[in-house]
Amino acid sequence: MPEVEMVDATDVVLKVENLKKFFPVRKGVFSRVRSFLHAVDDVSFEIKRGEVLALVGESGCGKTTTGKTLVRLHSPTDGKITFLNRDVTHLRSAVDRKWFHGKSQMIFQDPFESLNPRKTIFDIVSEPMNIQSEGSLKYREEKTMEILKRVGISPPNAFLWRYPHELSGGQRQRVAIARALVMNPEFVVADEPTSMLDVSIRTQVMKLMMNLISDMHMSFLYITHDLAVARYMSDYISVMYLGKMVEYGETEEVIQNPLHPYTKALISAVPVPDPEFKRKSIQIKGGIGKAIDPLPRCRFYDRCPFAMDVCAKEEPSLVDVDDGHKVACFLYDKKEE
Amino acid sequence: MANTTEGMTASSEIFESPFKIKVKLMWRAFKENWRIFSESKIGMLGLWIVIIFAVAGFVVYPILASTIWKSTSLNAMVSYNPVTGYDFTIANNPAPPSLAHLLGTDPLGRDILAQLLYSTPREFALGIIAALITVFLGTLIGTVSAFYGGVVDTFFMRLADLVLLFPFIPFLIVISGMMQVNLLTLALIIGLLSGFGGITIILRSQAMIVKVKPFIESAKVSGASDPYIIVNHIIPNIMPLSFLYMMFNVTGAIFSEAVLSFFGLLNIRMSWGLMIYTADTAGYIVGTNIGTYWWLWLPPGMAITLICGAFYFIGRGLDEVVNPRLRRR
Amino acid sequence: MKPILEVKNLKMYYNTRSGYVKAADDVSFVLNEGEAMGLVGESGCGKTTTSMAIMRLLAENAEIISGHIYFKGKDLLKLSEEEMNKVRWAGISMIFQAAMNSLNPVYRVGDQIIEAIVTHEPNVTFEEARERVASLYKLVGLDPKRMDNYPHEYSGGMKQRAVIAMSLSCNPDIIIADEPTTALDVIVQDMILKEMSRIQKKLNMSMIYISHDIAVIAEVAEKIGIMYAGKLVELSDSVTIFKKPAHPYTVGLMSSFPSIKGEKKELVTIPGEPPNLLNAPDSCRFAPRCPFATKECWEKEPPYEEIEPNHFLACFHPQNLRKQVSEYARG
Repeated sequence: MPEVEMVDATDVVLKVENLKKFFPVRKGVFSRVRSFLHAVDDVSFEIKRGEVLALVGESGCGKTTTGKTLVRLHSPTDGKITFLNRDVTHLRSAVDRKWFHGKSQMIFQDPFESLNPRKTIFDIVSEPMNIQSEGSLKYREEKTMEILKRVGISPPNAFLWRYPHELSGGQRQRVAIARALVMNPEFVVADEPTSMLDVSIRTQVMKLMMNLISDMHMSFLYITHDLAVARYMSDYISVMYLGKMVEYGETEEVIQNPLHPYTKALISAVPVPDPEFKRKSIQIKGGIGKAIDPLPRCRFYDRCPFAMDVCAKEEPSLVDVDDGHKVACFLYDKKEE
Repeated sequence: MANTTEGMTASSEIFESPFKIKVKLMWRAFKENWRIFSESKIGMLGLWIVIIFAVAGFVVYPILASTIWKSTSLNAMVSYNPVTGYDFTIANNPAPPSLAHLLGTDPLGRDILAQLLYSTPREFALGIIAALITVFLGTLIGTVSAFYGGVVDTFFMRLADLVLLFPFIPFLIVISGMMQVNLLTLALIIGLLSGFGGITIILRSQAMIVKVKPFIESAKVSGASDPYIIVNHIIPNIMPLSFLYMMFNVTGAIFSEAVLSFFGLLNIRMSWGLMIYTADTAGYIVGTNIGTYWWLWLPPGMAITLICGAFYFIGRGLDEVVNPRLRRR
Repeated sequence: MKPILEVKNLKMYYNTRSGYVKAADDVSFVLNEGEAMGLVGESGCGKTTTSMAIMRLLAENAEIISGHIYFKGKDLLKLSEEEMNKVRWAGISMIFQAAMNSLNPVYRVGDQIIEAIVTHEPNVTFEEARERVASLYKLVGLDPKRMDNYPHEYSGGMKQRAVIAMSLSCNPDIIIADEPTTALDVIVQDMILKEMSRIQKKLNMSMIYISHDIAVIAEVAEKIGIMYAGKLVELSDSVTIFKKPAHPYTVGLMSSFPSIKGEKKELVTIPGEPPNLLNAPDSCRFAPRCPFATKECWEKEPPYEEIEPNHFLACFHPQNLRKQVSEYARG
């Protein structure tokens, strides 16, 4: 990121402490809640201004739930969320809610479903201002035009009164980005924003987002299953497995020097666009399960090739191993002792 | 990709009043939907039948009643009234079709064609009022149940089950025994009853599909309130389906009216159902009389069948507009 | 190497209300025995259309305008529907996109495969079919005991393995796999790709992989065809395609793909979007997005020619392109 120097290191936009989100699992005739799915279990991190954190993991690891909880599509089961030095864990008053929703936004995966098919592009992009009743109609129109131009929809007035179905997938995702950024949010969650796009369009949208992030000094939570995309988009990577954060660190450090056996397996499984390159992949057993009332032990225990006795008895906690590179694994915890 | 909008949008000024632009957009959407609808043969057939009936009932009838049929009226000063307009020049009633009475006269010596045309606007009004009430209720309840779920949802869905299982015609018979039912009250009863019934279940399931779309979440992230989401996002997306069911409900209402009139349970002076009832109570729809006195029951019977069929056909045509999957490529 | 499948100048258009959508336009390639080939392209580029034409599973409004598809010397486009039925599954079988979701949830997985066998080979008894399914299960890395389970008892990866077993059930000469791993997670995708590659080599089958993901294709295919807007624009062995691509689109595709290995390179974007194939003009379809397009490209269609042995290209400027391309790739 070119703008990194400008960022004040102490300027933490979002701080998440021990975030938990459990979903009740209903079974049987009487729909009694017998067990809980631990979708997000004790996750902590912080994002500074202008910084991009990539949340990486396989489907069902809780990365999307984390993102949705942070923008209040779910309310957290437990934990504390601090946003711009204000506690936003509960958002009880209407004033707090208005303030928070005006400053946080989300970009969704599917550009075909995230825009209301019966609304025009103007309606869609200006909706956040409309909901927050910000500015006059003229102001909203000017803002809409300006942001559409910035996301590369040009000329904007040729698109204002079109409907989403008249746009291509790439254009739609640009509109979705414009909508998210129209009120200059401080914090944006992007849930796999490029995974539904074609390869040549994907790179355009990735570059657009990178430029906008550095121009607008936003804090970004970039959710993806694709480590190669995460490498290009983010400053920090956090790897999740079954609701737990298993590794966290600077992007290049995690990619080049993964510590957790799961991260190693994940990185070794990514196909490389080079026919002469022979990958050595780390074989792990079985498939990903579901964290329904998990036992107090390492969640990767059943699949881990390096599993030890201690892994079955205790849950490893996230430990700083090397200058901000954190990992939750007893292989590294032991060395400390 | 976009090809329909080039002309309009390129020239449109940004600071043109959004209202004007919205009207233009609606006009454009209407034209596009009309194009799809007009390609459906069955829908166009229905539309033409409805137009013919409407013209006959709203335009032709007043003209005829105040000109040609005036001479047969009791009082030559007022327009012809098909309820009281006896033709004393005819000795034996019911008389078969003749030049003076194109569809003959009924057992009381009244002109059948005039009765038919006189009833048409009333049938329309009944059908459309009942359907509007049904769809308004169905949309509102369906959306609210889908959005809030839980107790509200359970209550309205069980109520809908109850209404669905309810013996509709017998119920109306009981009601008409208890109170004087005219066309307006009938429209209200039918509208209210079916508004809580099947249509609610259908619109609710549609609203359930819309409710989980990311654009709803997207509005929530911006801080949208529940009523805002219901009004601005869910209802516009189920409106086309509501409109489609409105057409089917018109059919249902007209049909119920015909059945009740046939049993003589409605406090109304003239309707298609009543025409058949009059013929039946006078003993003309029994045995060989059916063939002999065909003009007594065939015109109103045909009218009921045609108008019910026509609204149903329009519904089928709209189906192609509403469900893009049914469209031919 | 003996050719087993030869597609020659295949043109398949969709006839729509507003005109012809040129979904596959003049596609030619040869697949040899025991070869794994990859077709890469973005959505709507005609890769699935081509495979559907080979299987003769065409949409109602699809029209084959011209061309031949020779399978073991027979032109598939001239066969009767009955003869074609014999070729499907036993000659050429296909793993459809998102096939793992196509397993019928109310039947046991093993029975579904047995049914596929018995339908295509009426002489096989139930017991023989069951034995064959058991050995297929072992081949694809599934426990034969799981045959009697229902699809919902399988994980995504297991379902995909079962679908592969099903496609192998009638000993086909060719398998066409359309996006075989798209819905799967990275680790499972890696296992499935390895498995498919191993089986293909073991049985010496021919294979056509279809994917939008050039990295996936690089893992498994020896020969790669790049498709763009209904045209096959470049075809060669995978090393040539990756090390010295000649078509500007191929180059753009390579350098716009983020990689996890090596230095973090700046990504190159291809400007613009793929064209609409409705009544597509007879000019180079990449010209509007191509940095090297000349007047010629806008006027004529570049011929699809063999520029070097086994390197086919449809571009007017292949010779002087290399140098420029490397500059372009550097940004």
